[in-house]
Amino acid sequence: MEQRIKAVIARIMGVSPDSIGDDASPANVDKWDSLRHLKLMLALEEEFNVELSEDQIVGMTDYAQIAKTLKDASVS
Amino acid sequence: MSFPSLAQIEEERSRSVEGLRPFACAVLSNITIDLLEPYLAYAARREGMDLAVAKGDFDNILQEAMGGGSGAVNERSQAIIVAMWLPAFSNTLGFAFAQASPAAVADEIARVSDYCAATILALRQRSSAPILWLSFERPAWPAYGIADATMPVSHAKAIDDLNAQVAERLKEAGNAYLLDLSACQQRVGARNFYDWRYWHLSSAPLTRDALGEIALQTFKYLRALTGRTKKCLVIDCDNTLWGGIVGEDGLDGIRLGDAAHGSAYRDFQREVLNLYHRGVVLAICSKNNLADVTEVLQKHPGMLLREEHFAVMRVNWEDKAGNIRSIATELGLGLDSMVFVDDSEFEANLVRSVLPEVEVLLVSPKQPARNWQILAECGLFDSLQLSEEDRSRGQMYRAEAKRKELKAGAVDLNEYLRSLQMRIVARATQGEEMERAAQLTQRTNQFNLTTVRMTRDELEQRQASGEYILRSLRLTDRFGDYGTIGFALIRTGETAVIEVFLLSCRALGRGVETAFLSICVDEARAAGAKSVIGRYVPSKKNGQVAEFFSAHGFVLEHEDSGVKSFRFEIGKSEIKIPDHFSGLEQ
Repeated sequence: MEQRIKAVIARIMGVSPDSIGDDASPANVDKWDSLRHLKLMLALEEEFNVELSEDQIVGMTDYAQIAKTLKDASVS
Repeated sequence: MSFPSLAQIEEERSRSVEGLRPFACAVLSNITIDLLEPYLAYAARREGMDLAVAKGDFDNILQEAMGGGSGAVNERSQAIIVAMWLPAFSNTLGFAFAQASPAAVADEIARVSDYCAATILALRQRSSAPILWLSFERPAWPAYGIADATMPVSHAKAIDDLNAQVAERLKEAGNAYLLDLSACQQRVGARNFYDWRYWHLSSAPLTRDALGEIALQTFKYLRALTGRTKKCLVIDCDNTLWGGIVGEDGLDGIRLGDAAHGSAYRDFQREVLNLYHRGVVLAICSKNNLADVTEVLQKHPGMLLREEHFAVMRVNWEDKAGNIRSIATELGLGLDSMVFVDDSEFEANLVRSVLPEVEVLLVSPKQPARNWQILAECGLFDSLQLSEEDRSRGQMYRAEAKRKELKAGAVDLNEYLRSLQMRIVARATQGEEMERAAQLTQRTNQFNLTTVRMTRDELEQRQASGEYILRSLRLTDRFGDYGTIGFALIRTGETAVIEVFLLSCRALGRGVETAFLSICVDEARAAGAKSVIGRYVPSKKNGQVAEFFSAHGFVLEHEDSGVKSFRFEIGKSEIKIPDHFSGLEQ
């Protein structure tokens, strides 16, 4: 699951998957701006076939939070 | 077509593809519609276009139209998309309709309408590029509920009125189109069209499904605007036009007609017949015995399509790719204007791999009831307007097939041409002919010296300026009317310039091009010209006319990156009209 999340992040940000580490966030991934963040949220919902709540979406600010939220949402 | 996931789209877009044609598009919006871009770009890529989207600043539509802000609309823009989402622009007309008095509603409609009018006017002043305006969708949940239609000022009707006003402004601007967002919303379904979570989080109210649908609809316009409208539908027979296999099941055994198990195929034929009446040329490509297929076409009571509807038939046991290629040759059409429909994955894949230019539609033999919709929603044959010409095109191609039979029997080409008893009429383009002339500039690829695409409005402006000669060419012969098959636009003056000169490919090989050029030069002379400039601008498809001017006494003056400019001195040389025409009218 971690790898799938990172792969989606990499594709949406247009960077190589290797460059997405556990600490990946808008602060250290150049192209991670607000627009790509929106695109990422939609792409993750699509990838994991899940509809997240507004609070969950707002909380998904970096890789760690994204992974935690998706795990809590117990998506597969 | 359907879209893969956003992540897959992005992955595919990261791969570079050779030979894509760049296309620059500006998008102005008052919502976060940026996610339309991946879907648009994906659809464009599949058709060989590399779409670059310049987006205007968020919620700054009018300022952007006037040239402020990001400068998204500029001289490089090849299309301008305006996505003004009404609920974000007008709370009254969007969400709070029930709270407004009729007078307040009228005021609000006037305010929005004025804003749209100013935007359209400003866009037209800055750019002649086509404008695609997303209409305001009708409310899926009208503010008055089921009573809406009974109200003196109903929510739905207010939106309809507003759309009608915008449509009027777009019509005045010319080359501007109202994309029906309500129809997009209907196809997707309103419940799947909006995502209110993202409306509140990011001002992005439209779902992925909605954006995909809008992209598909937008692309139908871009396809038509860039002259990529498909022209010919090549159809398989068994399990496509009817259920079952005629060679095995026999005339009485195939499924077709009113009964439940045959009416799905009749619906498919009904849709094919609609395309025929829209000017799509039909052909049959089937692995069968010709006698079996002919018998069905002539005798089966359930058939809506008959022999007369098909310009060409290839019923044999050879491979379908080869047959499709020969159909294209016979009709004088490019492979990239052909669509092939079959129920067999094998045949579909064969054609896709051998003839990648041909668009292939796969219909289902198991669920034939859905097949008509595949045709109805593909949009591949959509053109911006339809003319009378389109509606009778099928007959013209049929007549052409008969001419070819005569040609096969004639010994001498000249004798054959004479026997056709051709008459040509070259008249000043006016009235409804303008529509056809614009369409010819948009659709003609091969015999087109400059490939300048023009809209009706642009042509009418040229005509109104008094500095241009516009000539439409009609051709008839003993087999029928070819309709308007040629158009020329000439700027007058002591040195006249032929800016557009084109002929539909179905008129070629008869000396018509020589006669038409002669007439055009004569018209230019009558308007005071001492010499005439003809230009050849090379495109992917017009190689056959590279030497057209030089073959008619024009002398090459200069050449710059393939663009050649020729001059014809009136009085010094002459263009002789072939003598096999029975009539010439000017």
